[in-house]
Amino acid sequence: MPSMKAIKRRITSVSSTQQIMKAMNLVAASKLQKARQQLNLIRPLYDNIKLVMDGVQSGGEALDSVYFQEREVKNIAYLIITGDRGLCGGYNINMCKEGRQLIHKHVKNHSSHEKIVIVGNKGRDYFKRRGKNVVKQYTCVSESVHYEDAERIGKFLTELYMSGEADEVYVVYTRFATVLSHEPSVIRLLPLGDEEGSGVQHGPMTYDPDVNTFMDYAVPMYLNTVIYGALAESNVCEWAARMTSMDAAAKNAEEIIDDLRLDYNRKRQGSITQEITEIVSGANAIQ
Amino acid sequence: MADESGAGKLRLRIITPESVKLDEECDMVIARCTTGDMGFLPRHEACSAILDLGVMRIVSNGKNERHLAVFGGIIQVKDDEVTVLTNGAQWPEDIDRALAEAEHAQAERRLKEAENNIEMQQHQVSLRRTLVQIEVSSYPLLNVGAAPSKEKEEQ
Repeated sequence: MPSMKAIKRRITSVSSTQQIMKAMNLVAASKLQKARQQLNLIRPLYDNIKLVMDGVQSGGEALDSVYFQEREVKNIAYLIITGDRGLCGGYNINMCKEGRQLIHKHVKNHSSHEKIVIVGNKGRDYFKRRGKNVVKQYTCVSESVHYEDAERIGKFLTELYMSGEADEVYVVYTRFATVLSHEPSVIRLLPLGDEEGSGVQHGPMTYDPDVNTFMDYAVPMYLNTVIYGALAESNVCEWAARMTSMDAAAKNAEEIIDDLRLDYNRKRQGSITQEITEIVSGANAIQ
Repeated sequence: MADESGAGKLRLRIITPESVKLDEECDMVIARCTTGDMGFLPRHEACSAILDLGVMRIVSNGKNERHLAVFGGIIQVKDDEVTVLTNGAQWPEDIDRALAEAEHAQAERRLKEAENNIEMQQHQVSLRRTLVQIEVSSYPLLNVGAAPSKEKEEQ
């Protein structure tokens, strides 16, 4: 049994940990707010550029462009978005698992080789430890999302695809539904056009200077926007996960403190009772 | 949709990764595209074009002309809706003229020292970017000068 002093020391240490967690919870909550605002501001760009791409696709003039053509799948590039830091519950590990399952599935179906492009320290460590082929890593990107970062990543992935080093490109990210529920999601970035169109009727459209030049410009912009959106959405999820896990941790600390207090009081009461018994029996002995 | 009875208006939306920069009605948009300046009036045919770095001119309420620095992107016109998707856009008041000039000088210097084509291209882009900024930032002065006379006309 620990002594009273030891219990008291534990109470102090747990409550100081609890305070840190509460502070981190507050920080995460405000970061979450900011990240959500950012995500909302990206939506208009994403929706509009998606419409432009749908228009190009439904026009049918550009379907033989390299961006739309399906190739025999030998190498697949994956962009897996994780966080740089831990203390956010299952966020990072869920992402990594989803990525690994996807890779396994493709290896089975196409006997393809993976080329992993990773965002975040956590994912990099996970895949490197398992001896996967990580071709490029980006760190310090996921916590403050900038369009320039998305541009850099997009450029690298496009080069992989254009040079034939990758025949398909997938993005693994976390989709934000509510603060409490976020699910790992996968989208195929390249080649374009596996999804069905939005159902919107697109009339005839003229392209200046011509559709292929337009595509060469618009497609990278579209890819960057998708990556930017995925980064921003994952960022929102990371902060949401961190907030909820810090909240849970603070609650757990509260429980531990309660138990320890009970223990401490029991001990204190015991020692007082013992002292009284000793005094009384001492007094009796004198009489 | 175009108003059949009178002159229609264009609905102009300028969207950047950070925000919706502008969403309003106007009479005419002149944009710097890679193939030259393109002007859009109501009832323009459906059209998509690539934007170059350059000054976009927006005419609303008949004569009020505003200038916007646009750093590349896409412009799409359809059913009297003009959508501009761009990596970046700045109003004259957003631009720090002194900073732009300093960056311009820096880009010029770096362009001379560039060792390979990629570096050269990068510096050329930033040089043109600063040139556009400098050009646009000279407009608010003109606008300020024009504003009082317009008020007088109304009186």
